[in-house]
Amino acid sequence: MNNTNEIFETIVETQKKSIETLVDTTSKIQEALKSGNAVEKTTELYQNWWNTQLSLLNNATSQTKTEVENTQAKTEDFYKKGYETQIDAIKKASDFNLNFFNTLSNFGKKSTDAKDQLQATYSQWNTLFESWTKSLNTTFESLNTSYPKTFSPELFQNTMNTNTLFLKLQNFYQPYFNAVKGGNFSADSMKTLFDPAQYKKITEETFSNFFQGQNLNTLIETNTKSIHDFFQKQQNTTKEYKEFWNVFTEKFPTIISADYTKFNDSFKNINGSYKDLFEPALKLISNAKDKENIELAVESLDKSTTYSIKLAQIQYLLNKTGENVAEEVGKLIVEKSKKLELTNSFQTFFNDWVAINEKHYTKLYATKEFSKLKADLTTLSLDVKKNIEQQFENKIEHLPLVVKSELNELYQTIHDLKKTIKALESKVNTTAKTTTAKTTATKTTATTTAARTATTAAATVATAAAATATATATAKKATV
Amino acid sequence: MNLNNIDFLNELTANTSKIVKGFETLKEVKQVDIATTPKTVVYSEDKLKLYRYKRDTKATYKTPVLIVYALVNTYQMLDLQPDRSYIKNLLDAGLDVYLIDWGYPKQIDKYLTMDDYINGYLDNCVDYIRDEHKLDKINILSICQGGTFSLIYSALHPEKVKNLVPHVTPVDFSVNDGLLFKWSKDMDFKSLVRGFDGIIPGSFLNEGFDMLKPMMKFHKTSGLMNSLEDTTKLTNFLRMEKWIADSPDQAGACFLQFMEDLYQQNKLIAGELVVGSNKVNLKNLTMPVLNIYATEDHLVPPSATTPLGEYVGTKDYEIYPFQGGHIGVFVGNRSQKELAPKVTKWLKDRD
Repeated sequence: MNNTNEIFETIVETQKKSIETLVDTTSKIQEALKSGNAVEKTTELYQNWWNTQLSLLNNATSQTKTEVENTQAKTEDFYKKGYETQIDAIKKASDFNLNFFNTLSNFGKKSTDAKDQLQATYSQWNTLFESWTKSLNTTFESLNTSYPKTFSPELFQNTMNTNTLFLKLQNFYQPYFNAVKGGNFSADSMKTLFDPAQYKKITEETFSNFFQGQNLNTLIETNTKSIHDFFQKQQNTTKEYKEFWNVFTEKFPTIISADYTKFNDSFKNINGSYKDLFEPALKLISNAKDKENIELAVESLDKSTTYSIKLAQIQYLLNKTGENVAEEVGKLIVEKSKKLELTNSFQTFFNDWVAINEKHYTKLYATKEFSKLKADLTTLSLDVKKNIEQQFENKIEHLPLVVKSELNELYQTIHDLKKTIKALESKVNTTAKTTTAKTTATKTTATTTAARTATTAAATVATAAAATATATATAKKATV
Repeated sequence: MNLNNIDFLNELTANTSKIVKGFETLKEVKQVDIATTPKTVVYSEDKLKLYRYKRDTKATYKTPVLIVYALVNTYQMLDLQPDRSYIKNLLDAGLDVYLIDWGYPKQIDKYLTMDDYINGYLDNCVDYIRDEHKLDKINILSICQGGTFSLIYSALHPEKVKNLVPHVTPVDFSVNDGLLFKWSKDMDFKSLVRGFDGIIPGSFLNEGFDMLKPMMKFHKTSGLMNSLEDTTKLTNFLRMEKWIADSPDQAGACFLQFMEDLYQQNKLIAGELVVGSNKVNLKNLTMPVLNIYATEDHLVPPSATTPLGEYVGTKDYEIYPFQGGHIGVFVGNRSQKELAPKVTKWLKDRD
């Protein structure tokens, strides 16, 4: 019995049935809207749906609980997270249906109210769908943490994220489509409809790798704290700097949205003062490792702040390109609406959106500015990583542990020795082959000489025999 | 245009249902196996394995072929599935096929250099095959970075190579086509190797490759959505994903020299590349060469591959353009009918 597979299958099966019933219920509610007996039908549908969800969850709980007890302790953690996300998803789904039920119980009002109610329903659906995808993603993330290298959630997550993006894009572009339908869509009205803040979120979702600023703040804070703690032992020198830095990081997003190039220059000036402050003070410290660690921390801080600047620069470029994309997409809608070529399928529109993004972002990626920024970001982040590793090594130096730098020396020695041995083996083999060849040649020469000697001896014997025969014949002739 | 909330909800729920049905299809997918053509290990050294592919009938070529793949990703793409296998096509044509599996470098391998790979591992594999078949020379068939390695090797040991067939091989790194070539010019590779402590993670390389097409994940999702209801399509999709995900780490010393000396300083073409203690002179490539490139290659643009003919010493040089991308050359539908026949005929004429 493969417990991992069974847990996975139980969760998958539960999620599958859960969303199937939700999809089915939603379709039936829509049908009920059209048929006019929405109120009675929805109550019944809601109750059935709620009961189904509860029983699915109870089944999943009892089934997986058995599997969890039979497997490793770490699975309990995964189970707990899965359970919590399930409850959260169910709660949001129940809120959705309750609200829907409430709106429908006021269904007898004017048509504009019905339209608003539908919009509210639609917003609820958005929330519910995002919650569902989040719960599914969380499940897979937990599985991957508990059973690393067993699952490949990235592929699945990307599919779910694309679906979520699909939703966000539809949300963003629905006003455009409504304007087209209302006959008042133009290049000018497009400017009013474009919401940069909302589109920025779409760009951040699409290029999430470049929008991971939270870890950086933690890194900067940690390095600042370590420097602060060190100097607090000596004096209270860095207290004001730490307070300044806390205020600065809070105001960072506001500052960056102002004049970018001026900000860049002033920040470099501010940042440079770290070295002016610390360098003289460091001369007073004689303990080598402590001093090295603080120098590394200062260097990390310096590089982290440079990283922040460059990250903001690259985010700016991505967002700017996103705006260009949105503009071109808007123009596409205008052109297609004029030619009556707009379809009823959002998937078709989504494909066009992807193609336009590909064009603009490939162009951005090919610029020297982007290439240099990307290279700098990679180098800076790795330098900081290396600094932290070195600081860690310095701290555990007194413990009986083999550290990376010592192992690296060993690996280099092993590599050099292996190379020497292989070279020697090759020489030995070549020498052996040459020696074998020489020995074979010597043997052949000796055999040939012996054969020649034998031939000569045979010839001598033959000559002697011939001479004897001649002498005998002559003697016989003489007698006769 | 009639796109409203209800229509969109219908489209979204239809997509969602597809995803849910995908779980059912996933259950029906038995195994996601790749590289299933039978082979045996005939020689090994450190993490390297030299495979010989099993033949049911006697080879009809006198000279065996050694396939030299890149260090990046694995050779398994050449044998992705039974009906899309370049290796199987070569075997069916009558060739005796050997292949180098470089293995998965670990920390202990971080100091392996280009000299170790080319004049060490590759040379030892060539010598093994020469001894086995009692031949002075063998054929080498190589892919991408493996192609660059085999060009360097053949220039240093021309007496051991009968015919050379590089595929999608970068030679002239001074070109500015393709994002990989542009980005490499600005990267500080020494910092990179130092930062990764001498072993470049395969995942880092994969992220870089994904970025070469900004909207790659959406194309892939679209591909997946179209496969969710068909077991065969889904299995084939997952095979490719399996191969892509399997990216070995890179030995830092070799990676550093390859990126600095080639991508940044273009030393091979300039005649300044030194591997071990020997300078590489492409004029020593006096054996017949068939240079295959992909016309829509975004990883190794044609402008980086096609100049090879200007630098080789052989008069028997042929260039062959294949309509397709870097991977499509080997796994595409058209490739199965076109690539192996072209290569095997060319080799037969020079056997």
